[in-house]
Amino acid sequence: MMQYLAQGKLVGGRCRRCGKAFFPHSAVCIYCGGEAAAEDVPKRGQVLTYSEVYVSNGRFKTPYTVAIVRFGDFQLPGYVMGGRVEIGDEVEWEVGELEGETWYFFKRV
Amino acid sequence: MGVFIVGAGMSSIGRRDVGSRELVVEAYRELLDMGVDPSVIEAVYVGVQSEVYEHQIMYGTLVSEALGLLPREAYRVEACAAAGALALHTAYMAVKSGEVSAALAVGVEKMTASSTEVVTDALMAASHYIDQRSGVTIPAHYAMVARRYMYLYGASEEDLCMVAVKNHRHAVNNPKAHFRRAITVEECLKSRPVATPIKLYDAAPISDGAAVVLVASERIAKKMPTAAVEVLASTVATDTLSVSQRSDLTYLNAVATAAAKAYDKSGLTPKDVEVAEVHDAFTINEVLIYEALGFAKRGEGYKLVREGATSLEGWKPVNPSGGLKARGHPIGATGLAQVYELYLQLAGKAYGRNTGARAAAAVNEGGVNSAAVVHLLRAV
Repeated sequence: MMQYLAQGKLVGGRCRRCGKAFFPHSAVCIYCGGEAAAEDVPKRGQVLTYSEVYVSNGRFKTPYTVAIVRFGDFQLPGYVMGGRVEIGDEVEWEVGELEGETWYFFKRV
Repeated sequence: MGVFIVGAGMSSIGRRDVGSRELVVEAYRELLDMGVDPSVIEAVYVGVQSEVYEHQIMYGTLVSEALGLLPREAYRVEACAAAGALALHTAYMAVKSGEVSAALAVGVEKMTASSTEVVTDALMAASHYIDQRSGVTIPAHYAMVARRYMYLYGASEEDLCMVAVKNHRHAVNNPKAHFRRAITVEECLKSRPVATPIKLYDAAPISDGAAVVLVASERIAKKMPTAAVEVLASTVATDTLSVSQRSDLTYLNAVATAAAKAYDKSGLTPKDVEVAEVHDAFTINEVLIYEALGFAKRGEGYKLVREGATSLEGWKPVNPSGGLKARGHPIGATGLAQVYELYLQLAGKAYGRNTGARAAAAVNEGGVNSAAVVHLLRAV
């Protein structure tokens, strides 16, 4: 996953056998064990659910928001930069610094 | 070949000023006090979540030594909060195979000497790195599942709080519970947020504790002075490490799969289960387990709590011990604390909270429903 992040990309897998999409990419489908191909995660998605976190492990400054977002056929968990979202909101992912490391996060459109 | 539980013990659960070793000894002494002869034990399987809390691995040897059971076969098994039931599953498999005649399953966790941040971080190790690096804590995962469930099916935060109220009320009758105090829906609704919509009173506490369960063949069981409970099924199933990779975020596929296998092996149906101890690490999860076990239809589990069906006096009592919420949740011990309660229930010795049940189910889970262990038990 890190080599894709370095290119500013998020890449998932799509199974050649069962057709399902998953994240992050792996050569083996996590659903059926079939062979999977790499596929770019679409840029824009919709919030399926979210939570505002008040108790963290100390590495993330509270409160902050996390969400699970559907981007095309891919579903990703992530940190929501700039806070509040609702179910159904449109967000885009971005690659950037999160708590001092290169990672990805979501931003409301 | 039948496999039986012939005795069980549990430490008091809560904020304890002793370590794993003392907690295990306390639980084991209750087993000995039942009149069990420990010389029958041939193997020891120990469920522990994390080496972080006590900077300790080698719990198999540690427990074998602490109980004077060296040089027996002893090792640790782990699936986060399902570790305890996994130890029982391992003991069941060992006895079922005929390799050993009696095995001791042990579960233990010493958590309260660590800060909440340390515990939160140690538990996050149970999720995928995409979750960990995004700051999705374990409570935040359950919170997102809860929010999606409420959105899809119309359950409210009040409905979820009613699970906590029920389990706290049950724990008042359990002398070993972490919290023996009834709470109200209002107190729960007003408690501080952990990860919205989950509040402090929706969450199981951080606890210390240990539990032991002795598993034996029919031949050994017949010689024991203690009540025997038959293990009709012991099943394990898994689901994605990250909740995000599930097509339905609110369906407990691992529990449903393990339960289906267990019903199939035992010949029992959901209707036959007369009492259950289930994994209410967060209130939403008890509701979802009702659905995965077939006690309620999809999206209707919360109505069972509203109707009082799963109260001690209801037609399907769930978590008579107080559950993880009020009995307490020493991670590695929880699966066996559940079976300890069911052993007492089926033997008619859960004084002050007896249900009179003859068949029981235990559901123990690890991660965010990423591993599930189901046991179906029957009084002999």
